[in-house]
Order: sequence, then C-alpha cells, then structure tokens
Amino acid sequence: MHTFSLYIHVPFCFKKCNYCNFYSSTDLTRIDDYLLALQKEIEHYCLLFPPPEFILKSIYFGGGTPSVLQSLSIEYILSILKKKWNRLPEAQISFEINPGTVSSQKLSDLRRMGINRLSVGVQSFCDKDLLMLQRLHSKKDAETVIKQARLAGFSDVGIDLIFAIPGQTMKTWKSNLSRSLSLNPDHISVYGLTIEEETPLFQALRKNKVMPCDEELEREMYIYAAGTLKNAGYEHYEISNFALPGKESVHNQNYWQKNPYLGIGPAAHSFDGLRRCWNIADINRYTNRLHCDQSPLESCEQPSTNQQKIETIFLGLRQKSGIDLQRWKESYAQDLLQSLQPLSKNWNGLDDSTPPFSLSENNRCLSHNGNSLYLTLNGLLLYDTICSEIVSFLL
Amino acid sequence: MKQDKLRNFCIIAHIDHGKSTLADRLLEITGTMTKEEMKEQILDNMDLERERGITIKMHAITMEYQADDGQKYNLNLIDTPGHVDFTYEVSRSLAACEGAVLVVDAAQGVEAQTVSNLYLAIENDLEIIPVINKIDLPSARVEEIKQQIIELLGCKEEEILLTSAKTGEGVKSVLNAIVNKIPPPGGDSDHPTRALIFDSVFNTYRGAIAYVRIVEGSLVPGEMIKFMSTGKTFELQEVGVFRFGNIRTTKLSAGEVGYVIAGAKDVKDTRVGDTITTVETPATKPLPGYREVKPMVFSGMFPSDAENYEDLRSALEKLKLNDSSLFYEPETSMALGFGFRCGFLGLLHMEIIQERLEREYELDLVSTVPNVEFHIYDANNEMHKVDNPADLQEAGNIDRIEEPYIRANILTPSEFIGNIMPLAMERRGIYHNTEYLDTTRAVLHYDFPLAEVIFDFYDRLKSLSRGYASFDYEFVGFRPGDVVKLDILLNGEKVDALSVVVHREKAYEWGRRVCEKLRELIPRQMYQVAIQAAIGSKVIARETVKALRKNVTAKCYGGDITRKRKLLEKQKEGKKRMKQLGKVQVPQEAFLSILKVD
Repeated sequence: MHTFSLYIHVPFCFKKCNYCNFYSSTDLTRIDDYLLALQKEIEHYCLLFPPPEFILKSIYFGGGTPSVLQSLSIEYILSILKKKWNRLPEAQISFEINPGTVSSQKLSDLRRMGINRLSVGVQSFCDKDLLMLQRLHSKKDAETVIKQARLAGFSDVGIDLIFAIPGQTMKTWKSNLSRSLSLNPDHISVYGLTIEEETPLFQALRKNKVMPCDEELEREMYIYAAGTLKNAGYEHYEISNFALPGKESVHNQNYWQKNPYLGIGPAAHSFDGLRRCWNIADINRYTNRLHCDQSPLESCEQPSTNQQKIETIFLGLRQKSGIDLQRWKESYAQDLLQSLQPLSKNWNGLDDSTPPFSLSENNRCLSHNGNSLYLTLNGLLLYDTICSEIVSFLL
Repeated sequence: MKQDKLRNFCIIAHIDHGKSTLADRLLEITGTMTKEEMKEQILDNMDLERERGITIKMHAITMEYQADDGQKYNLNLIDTPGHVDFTYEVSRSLAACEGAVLVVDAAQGVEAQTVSNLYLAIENDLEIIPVINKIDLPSARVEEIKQQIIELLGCKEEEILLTSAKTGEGVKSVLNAIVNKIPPPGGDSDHPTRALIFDSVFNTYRGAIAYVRIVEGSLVPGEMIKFMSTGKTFELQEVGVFRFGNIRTTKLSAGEVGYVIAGAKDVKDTRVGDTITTVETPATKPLPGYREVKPMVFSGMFPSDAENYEDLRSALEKLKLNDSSLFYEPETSMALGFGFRCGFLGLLHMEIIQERLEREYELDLVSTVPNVEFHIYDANNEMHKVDNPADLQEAGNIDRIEEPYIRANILTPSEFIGNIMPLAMERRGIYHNTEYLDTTRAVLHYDFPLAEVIFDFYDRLKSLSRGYASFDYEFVGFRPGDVVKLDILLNGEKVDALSVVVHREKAYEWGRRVCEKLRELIPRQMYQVAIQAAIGSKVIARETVKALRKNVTAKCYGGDITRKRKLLEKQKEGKKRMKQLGKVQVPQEAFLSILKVD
C-alpha cells in the first residue's frame, strides 16, 4: 500500500491578477466542459496511481480560483474521487479561496463535504496594496471570510500574504502581520512578490509606471516576518511557510520531500516517485483531448541522477529540515559536506552552530548539524543564488 | 621558351576594384582555362574569398598568348595578397615581376591601397599599365578617374586602358600592353643560380612547395640546392610551371616562374623573399630585400573551455604549416588558464586567424586586448623585448621604453579631412603632409605609434568618413614612448589577462572605461566586488559591484518541480562561460567587451 497526494487544478478566475503567471482562464463558460473532462481524467487516465494499492493522504484544490466552482460541482468531483481511491482517515483536504468570492453558505458546504483546510488568498490587509495587485477584494472581505470560515467549523485556516509590493512600506507590512496574527490563523505563507515576465505588472514596471520594492526593504520585511511569526509561536518550516505545531501543509511538504503526487486538470504536474509528468497547459486542448479519449499528458520525463541531485538540493534547502546528509550519501555515494567545502570557503565557510533558518552571527549562509545541511536566515535571502552556485559547483 | 617571349606581371588594386575578375577574364581569353574549369577554381577558392572578400594567399599561373605580331608569348601572372598586413609578401611578388597592371575602379577611383601598392611597384622598378575597370557601371566617372591616375602616375591620358572585366570589353588591350610595354626578363641562365621565393604553400604529401622566379641561372631536379638565409640544403626533387594545376618540367631557367619541391617539411624552410642557389656553383650574394617576417601585433588566445587547449594547439599548428608569419607560444594566465600568446603581422592577420580558428576549427576563444611589442632598455642600455603586458614589470629597472611606429597613408575625400585630423591627433599621429590627388581627394601622411591603430582605429576612420576613407601603412621602426602598464584588480587581485600597456596620458581614460564596463558586466555576487584600475600601486579608477542582498523566488509552483530544475540547469550552463578569478566570477563577455570599448 502506498500513499500519495492529489492536486486538482481549477484553471478559472473571475479576473486575472496583474502579477500572476499561473495558467488560468476568465472564460467561465468553459467550466462545464472542464468538469466533464476532469471526470474523464479521474476515471480513465490516472494510470500512475492505480487503486486500491494507492491511498490518498491529501487533496488540494488549487488554481486559478477554485471557489469559482459551484458547491455542487465541488461535491461531485469529491464523490468521483471517493469512488476511485480510499483516503487515510486523517487526510488533509485543502481548498484555496479568495476573499469576496465565497458566502458563508458556501463555506458551510465545503466543510460539510469533507474539506478540512482552507487557504485564503488575503495577500494584504492594506487596500492600497490590493489595488496595486488589482485584487477584487478589500481588507474587510478578508477579515470577514476568515471569521466566517471559523464559524463554518474550519479548524485549519491558512492565509497567504505578499510582501515587497510596489509602494508597500515597512509600516504597512508590520500592520499586515499584526492583523494576520490577530485573526489567529493556523498557517501563514509569506511570499515576496516576484514580478514575472509576461505579466501586466512587469510591463508597468518596464514602462516605469511602478517602482519595484527596494531590495533592502524587501530584505528587512522578510527578516521582520520571520522574527515576528516565530515569536508568535509559528514554526518557520519552509522558506515561505509558517505554521502552528501540527498545522503544516501535508500536501506541499509532499512535493518538497519528493513523495508521489498526482495532478489533474490543465497544467497540473504529477510525480510517481520516478517520472515527472505534466498535463497540457491549455484548457481547450485539455478538454478536447479527453473528449476524444486521449490522455491529457503533455510530456513525461525521468530525471537523471544529476537532475535528481539538483531537485534534492533546491527542495531540501527550502525546508527547515534541510538536505538529509545520510540519505545523500546512500543515494549518491558522496559526502556532501566535504564536497561543498571549497565552495563554502567563498562564503565565509560552513556554519555548524546556527540552527536552521536563524540569523548567523558571522553572516554565513549554509549551516549543518551533522545530520542535515540547511540554510541560515542569511542564506534564505539568497536562496536562488545559493542553489545555483551549489548546482553549478557540484555537477 | 626564350626570355624575350616571357612576361612576368602582377595585378595590383584596391579591394573590390576587380582584380580577380580581370584575372579570370585574362585566363579565359588566353584559353588557359575554360569557363567550366574556372568555375571549379572559383568554387575551390570560395571559402577563403568569402572570408573577407580578399585574396589572402597568392597564386601564380602562366598564360600562353598569341600577340598581334603573330608570336606566342608566355605571360606569368603572379597574384598578390590584397592587404596592408602583407605588404612584405606583396613586395616580394612584385620583385618577381617586370610589370604591373594597376586596376582602378571606375566608380570608386584611387584608394589608399592603390597608392601604396603603386609605390611598392615603383620601388621595384616595374612598368605600370594603368587600367580603369568597371567602365560599364552607370556610376562610372571615367574622365575624373583618368585625371586622378594622371596626377598619381604622371602618365599620358592615352596610356590609360579602359576595361570592363565583367563584359570583357577592353581586356584584349590589356594583354597587348603586357606584351608590348612590359620588358622581357633579363638574367643570364649561365650565371650561378639565384631564385627568388615569392610564396610557399604546404602540401600534406609533398611538404613545403616554394613558388619561385629564377633571376639568374637555372634549377634542374637532382641537384643539391641551398636556401641562402638559413643555409639549409636539400636535394631538388621536382620543378614545374603553373598551368591549370602544376605541370612538372625538366628545368627552370632565368626569367621563368615556377614551383620547386625539395623535401622541405616546413614552410619555415621556404621563406618568402629568400634566395635559392645551387650547392655546386653557389651565388656569392643573395637577392636583395629579404627580411625575416616578424609579428607586429600580439594577443593572448585562450579556449573558453579549458578542455579545448589541445584542440587549439593542434589548430594553430595546422595554420602555421601554411603561414610562416604566424607566431605562437604557450601562455598561462591566472585569469584565463592555459592558452597561447600569438603574434600576427597586423590586425587583419589577427582577425583572419581568429576567425579561422573559430569557424574552421570550431573553437570558442577568449582573446586579450591586442598589443604591440615594446623594447625595454634597462640602466645598462640593454634591450629586452616584451610582447605581453604581464611581463613588463619583470623587465626590471627600466631606463626607457620604445614602441613601434608606422607610416600611414590615409586617402580620403577632402571634405573629411577635418574629421580625420582630430582622430589622428587623438591617436598621437605625427603629421607629415597632405597630397592632393585631385581637387576632391587627398592623401594624408602620418606617423603613428602602431599601438594606437591596432585598436578600433580603422572602424573610427571609416565612420568619420562615411566609409570613404581608406588606410594603409608600413612599419618604420621603434621610437621612444611614454607608456605605462595599467593593471585591473578585482577585490585587490590583479587580473593578468586585463593588463594593458598604454600611453601615460591615456591610462586614466582607459582605466575608467574598463572599470565601468566591468561593473556593467560582472553580475552581483554574494559579496561586494571592487574593480580598480592601477598604475603600479596607484589606483586611478574604481567601481563597485554591490553584494547581492536578496535573491529569492520561493513561490510554490504547485507540483512543478521541473521548472526550477530547468532554470538551475540553464544557470549551470551559463556558469561555464564564467571565469572564476579568486572569489569573483567574471563572465567571458567581460574580456571580449574590453575589445569593444567605445
């Protein structure tokens, strides 16, 4: 018997946010077609995870904006899934919602059909930030929806926050965090805004219509968030994620720990422990394929040993648990610490006293405790560069 | 064939004035080559020709021609390379001739190379046959160009021939002039042998093949011959003449042009300008004008990927087989690793070699800023040659430094003189005089330190004259120069490959520009990078690349692990093109971009 996680991509939004580059469509007339295709995919094409030997340990409705779906539709999807795979009793069933798109009735529906975790896309409690990000909701909506979720019986509610929004100040960021804490969420994700190419915000930036957040400010915001949330009792268990004890995202950890998962819906990714596969990232082609009884897979590849190493490095370093040194040795017959010595010399050397994700006194980025290699808080701030340097150096 | 039925001549012209087309037409009319054969020949030469639109290597061919007097003549056409860097080779092939056809484009008129080649021809006492080519062009300005030539040559108007090599018009008149105006070669076949080498090529099966003009005496296979500059002797294996391909003969006599194979394995043994004589009755004196060809411009060439070092060595070896003027020796740079310090005749020669290495041998190279050779005199007045800026300090107690100078002819429409003179001044040019070819065209005569023209001078000249000015030069000797060594330091460590030797007054400007350029090109790293330019221990310019403070994109792209992995793989590939200098990563483009400081 094996367990796996399931991701359902709901590629619809009422409106596209100007910073978002995930695959989604605002043509809501395609929803019915999508649901039919999704059903077909679940019933006939999830060949990597044949029941009954595979059991679900988590389900995650992500998007897009999953809350565009009617309660009936969501319930229907869940019932098809139920028919196909068994679940662990403690399975985490998460649903992403956007404030302003759900009524208290809907929240009750979600809870009733077995969804036990909500992830609320708050992004900010400052209306000016929300305007900059062209979100459809106000700070009021966010507060309301979280309170309603509690009333609907959700004991596991997480919120997403974005920092380094153009125009954002340290003051508004601080107040964002304290407002968040006052709502007692179980989980908080904080993402530095990445302005991706091919987004309207990127265009605005290029035309100098908006000023990007100052690098030093962004750094301070992150350090401040890490300290504040830690003091409030949240564990910084992943580069962008904080949780009360026991409230970590089972689903996301599954990705980072290289456990198997199945993604359904357009653009969703799957991993069976060996191969990485992904569906077509286009709603029309996705539905057409399934209507013609063809697999919606776009492509599949099996990472080479070196590619597996790369994955282990960048997935490991984003987690507090770091890269398991013993497992590295067993898998790749290589002493990782020793191999990295020459490189870490350029970075003031390897630390062996700073705990993971804590500030290093002598500005070291990498630290270890004999069992695992992990980043310090200083290192987290340079996560991309460090991964790149290690990968280039090691492989 | 009797000497009086022989004519040895060459065609001289500025690039693209129609030299090759005229040569082809002569070959066709004399029946030396059919059109089909010519096509093959042209196809064979395509690669080289295409490279730069110029002839790099010389060829020779004999044409049989029945003149108007009913007599048959052998006309030896000796081709000359078409560029300033090969002035010496040009002068040697001119020395093998009695006459030269001077081709001038009917639209372009006289250009710098026309002038300098003409001077060389006159120095060699050649009979000049002036030809205005491309008269079929709508933009032809025949009358004007005639005046330019008369001004330049002091000839009579009716001596100037008008042709269109393209249509064939007037080409016969060129052949007749060659027969009637160019004197037959002199030289006594009974005298001790003296043969001038005007070119040599390497053949995989036969070794070095020397192209010669027998000035006196004769060469017969089987006898022992001697190369007078090296004193080396060889048994003469084969002689022959040039037709469509080489034709073996039993003897080459005074006045004749042909090839010589003597088992020399290396073109170093068959040096252009050298004299061949026989061992049995050797000539007492070699022919005048021989000189060892010395490289003038130097640059370090390094493979981008250290793994390609041996490939680079073998490619250089192969090029050297056919090019005795190419010089190279191993060089080790802290910054760029193992490579070669290469010496070239000039800038074009350097570019050709670099391009051939990159195109024909598919090597990815990083080369350093080209420099000239300096003569360093110490307190004891002893001279040390330095061709690598990195070696300058080791030269010890320096009394004075001398740098090579050239004499340049800049030919330009007179309206651009005002643009060119400031450029010449900026390049430390020493003005001699201006000669007017006609009312609209002038030749400016300058002396320049060679160092000032090997670096983007030609491009600047072209852009200041809207492409009209042309430029030619010859080496005139070493003269004192107030030059200093300028080092570039990254976080306090010297980057040897970026050191240059520059004139003291220009050091500041150069240092500032290089620092700025590097600041743009060096990506931000996990620590601050200080970029400094220094003369000795004195820092004259500084820039800083700030340390990276924050670089995280920690979004969770659903289960899309592949995306980040591919990004990291791409970055890893990109890093291959970075050089690690101490702690600092420098992109290779930084080294290349310095060659393009503008």
